[in-house]
Amino acid sequence: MDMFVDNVQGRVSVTILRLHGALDSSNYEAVIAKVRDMHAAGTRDLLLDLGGVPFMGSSGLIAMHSAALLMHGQQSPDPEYGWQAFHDVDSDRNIDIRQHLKLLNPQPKIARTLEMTGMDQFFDIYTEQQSAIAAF
Amino acid sequence: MVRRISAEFGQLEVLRQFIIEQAVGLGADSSLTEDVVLAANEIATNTIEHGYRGQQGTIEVEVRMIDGSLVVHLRDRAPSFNPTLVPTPDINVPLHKRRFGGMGIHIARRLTDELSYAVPVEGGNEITLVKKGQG
Repeated sequence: MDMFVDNVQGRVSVTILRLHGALDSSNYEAVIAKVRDMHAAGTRDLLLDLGGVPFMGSSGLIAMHSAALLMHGQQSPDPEYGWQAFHDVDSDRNIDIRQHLKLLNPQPKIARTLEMTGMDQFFDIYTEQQSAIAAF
Repeated sequence: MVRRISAEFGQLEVLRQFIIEQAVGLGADSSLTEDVVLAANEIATNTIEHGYRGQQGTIEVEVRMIDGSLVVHLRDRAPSFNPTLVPTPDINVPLHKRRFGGMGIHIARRLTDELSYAVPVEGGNEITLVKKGQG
């Protein structure tokens, strides 16, 4: 899977992370690391473009969950400790996920996975980039 | 036809492509194939992460068409684990209270008409996924 970064100025500066290729357990940690680096470099509003993702396993949901926490300034678990580190995360702090991370153009089967797992409740999902940028 | 892959995340794409190629060859509808591929990916992911836990191992994949249904068998030699006993997660839990992960088996169940478990004579696990064809 390849990752590409664009920056677009809307009402605020929005960074677009475009994913190209299958997203599964072999590479989801790379997405988390990328978002971590981007946040450390100053990204505060992120649009995750999934239009180029033809396949996403449930690990992709972990990447999105982690990205949401990172964009809210929280630390996601260290994947070096394995999936148990991810499973053990719990937070009593309600966070507004929608404000700083939005999703663009998930393919139908990806959108279906988001719906099946209830993850679609937590993200604003757009089919058109301009609308997504304007929503930040 | 049967294919054996190493139990490594990097081999999941090989597993998915094998199922697709076999399903196409057997005349399976693409919508059946897509669902079974994702379901098999989730089961195999669990086997690699939680079954073999970093140890070397293999996953054997067999794809068949039976009475219009696409059937995929996944066999491994990891410690016994019955995914049919895993409770259905509450998908309405708010994100800030969610554990990461834990959705793989749920996805596999939602996408297939049957998900069954057996212990082969030689040990390990066998998970069978069935997706029924239209009509």
